Amino acid sequence: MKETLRRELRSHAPAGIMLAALIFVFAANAELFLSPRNFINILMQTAPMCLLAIGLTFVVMGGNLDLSGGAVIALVSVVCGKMLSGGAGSILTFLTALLLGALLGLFNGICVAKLKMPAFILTMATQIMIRGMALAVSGGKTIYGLPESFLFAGSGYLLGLPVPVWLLILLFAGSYIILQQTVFGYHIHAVGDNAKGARMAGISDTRVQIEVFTLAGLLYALAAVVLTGQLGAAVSTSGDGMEMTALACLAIGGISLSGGRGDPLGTLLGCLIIGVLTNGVNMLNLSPYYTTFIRGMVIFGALVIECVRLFRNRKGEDEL
Amino acid sequence: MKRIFGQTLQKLKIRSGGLSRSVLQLLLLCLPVLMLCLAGCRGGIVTENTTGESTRQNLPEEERSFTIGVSINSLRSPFMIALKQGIEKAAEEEGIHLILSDCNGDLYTQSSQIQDFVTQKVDGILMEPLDEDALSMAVKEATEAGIPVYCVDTTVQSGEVRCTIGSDSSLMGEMAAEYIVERLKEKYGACRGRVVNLLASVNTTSGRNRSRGFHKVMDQYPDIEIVAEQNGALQLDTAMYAVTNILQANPQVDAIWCSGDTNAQGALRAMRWLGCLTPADQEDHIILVSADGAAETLQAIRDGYIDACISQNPLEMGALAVKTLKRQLTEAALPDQSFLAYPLFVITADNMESEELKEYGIWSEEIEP
Repeated sequence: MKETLRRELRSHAPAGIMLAALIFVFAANAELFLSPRNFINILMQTAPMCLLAIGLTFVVMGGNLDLSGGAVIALVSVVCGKMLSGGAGSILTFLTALLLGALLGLFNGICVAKLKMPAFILTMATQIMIRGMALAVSGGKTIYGLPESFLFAGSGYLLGLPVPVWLLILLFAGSYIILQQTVFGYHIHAVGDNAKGARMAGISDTRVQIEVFTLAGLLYALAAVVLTGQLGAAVSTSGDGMEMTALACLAIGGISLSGGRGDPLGTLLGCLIIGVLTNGVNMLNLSPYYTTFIRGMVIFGALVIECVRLFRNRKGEDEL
Repeated sequence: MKRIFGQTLQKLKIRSGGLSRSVLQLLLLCLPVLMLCLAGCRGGIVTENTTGESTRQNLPEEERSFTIGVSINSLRSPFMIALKQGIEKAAEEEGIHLILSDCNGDLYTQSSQIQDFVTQKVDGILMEPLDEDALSMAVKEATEAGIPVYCVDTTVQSGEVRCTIGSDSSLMGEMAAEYIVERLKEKYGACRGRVVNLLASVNTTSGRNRSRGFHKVMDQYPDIEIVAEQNGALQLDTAMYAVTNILQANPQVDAIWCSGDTNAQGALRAMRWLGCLTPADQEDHIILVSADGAAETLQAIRDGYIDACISQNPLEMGALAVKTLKRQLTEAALPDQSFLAYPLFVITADNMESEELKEYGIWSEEIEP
């Protein structure tokens, strides 16, 4: 048990080193970087993307890709905005949001698992459709003036910490336990690693795939609620490109994009790297013209370190 | 090297018995492509006839109606929606047939829309370019086809654009800076303080010019320090996170130039989150200056959170653009300047209810939802 734990932790060393390096650089140059307030800010700013990334982790571990995350966030956000401004209650809107996300995920899951559509193209198509629906429903407008009770999920406080931070703690821990300790998680690993083999071993790979996509959809909806809560408005262009950044976070965190390998701790590290980077760039007042390039460089750097680690592991396996 | 060449040549050889089969496959592939081309040719003529006929039927004999292709991104903000409505209303009044295309923020879509207009042989093109450099090829194509190209709100860096109708974005930045300087003088008795420049965008002319104008005035005051300059991108989440981080690093800030309404809303949200949002009459109030003039900004001015807004009037701007283009088409009267600057109005809490503002036009109240 201790051996596997140490092996797992070592596999996250590259991402951990990159994160530590970034924190060191920023802390050295901006005095208020290392304050608890700033750390909370970083968690708040990455919260929507983190929730998306957790959902994506389930899908990717199961051997598929899902490019529709950002679009689901946009549509759920807009639907919430419409419902709230039409007078619906906050709890009802919240439940509708989760249901909508789950249904969209279910749709993706059925198309991939039952109709055998390739996940990449299918989710790309659903991304375009869902984004289109978001624009159509909202007319492109941002809906302001949402009731405070709904915004609680995004900007409320509970026992001294913001609600999104609690959600992150809960969901990262929860997804870690589900993926590493439960039978469901075991099935996901199996299907992600070798779907045919899993089927022959008696695991219904179609069922697992539908379940992971639905779960992801649910988490995307939660991300939408948190984002809307933070912004205080339902923005129809939310989450644009968020799924790609989340995918990069997964890759940095050591989750294999072909499935079956990795754990949510890696996702957390990847998301924190991106969050620290964005926050640090703003705080250091680096030129906004270079921000995008710097972000690309950091992701590339983290990938290099991760690939070096995989390379060395593989060499070790070959020698055995 | 020679070996690689030889191997490649080997691989390109067609397998035995395959030559006739390959030729047949190629022909079969070409057939649908050929059919599409033919259909396209015929389709082009057909569309032109039907549009020509329908417009000629609806209007009196003397007035030849024009077709203008309009390409804007009307889905990003109330400003854009107002621009579109101003254009549509003026076109209706002038009896111009519009082909309105929305490019949804995608550059390739806008470029192909311009090319489609050229193919459809419109009389004029009115566009709101997404990027100042990337569309110069499309503009050139249009001008070479004899179609005058007008830009509204922002422009393309190309000598081919006949006229741009927009607000002087540089002037907007200057007016914002001058307003902030005045307020700082009131607060401190001297022209000093710490300000933040929250950019509207890093890749459009209007975005860059708003910052340029701001710098032009602020650089004259050595005691006023621009402590941070980051991109809000006129996106609610980007602006909110940027302002949160900036205020985290610089707790003592006197003023923020938000460069746009969405940036200002993001700044408000960030300040509310950090607990430093105070109305105008209190001592630790941070001066916020917005631009464009959406309804939420005006409400925030009434509430005392935003201090000023450098307002444009997109309804009138759109109308002016259509009228100027029509004048060129009917009277062959080229506009005397290549840039027609539509006047700006600095809205503050003091002049919200004034006659001058009503005359300028509160566009956010005049647009149809």
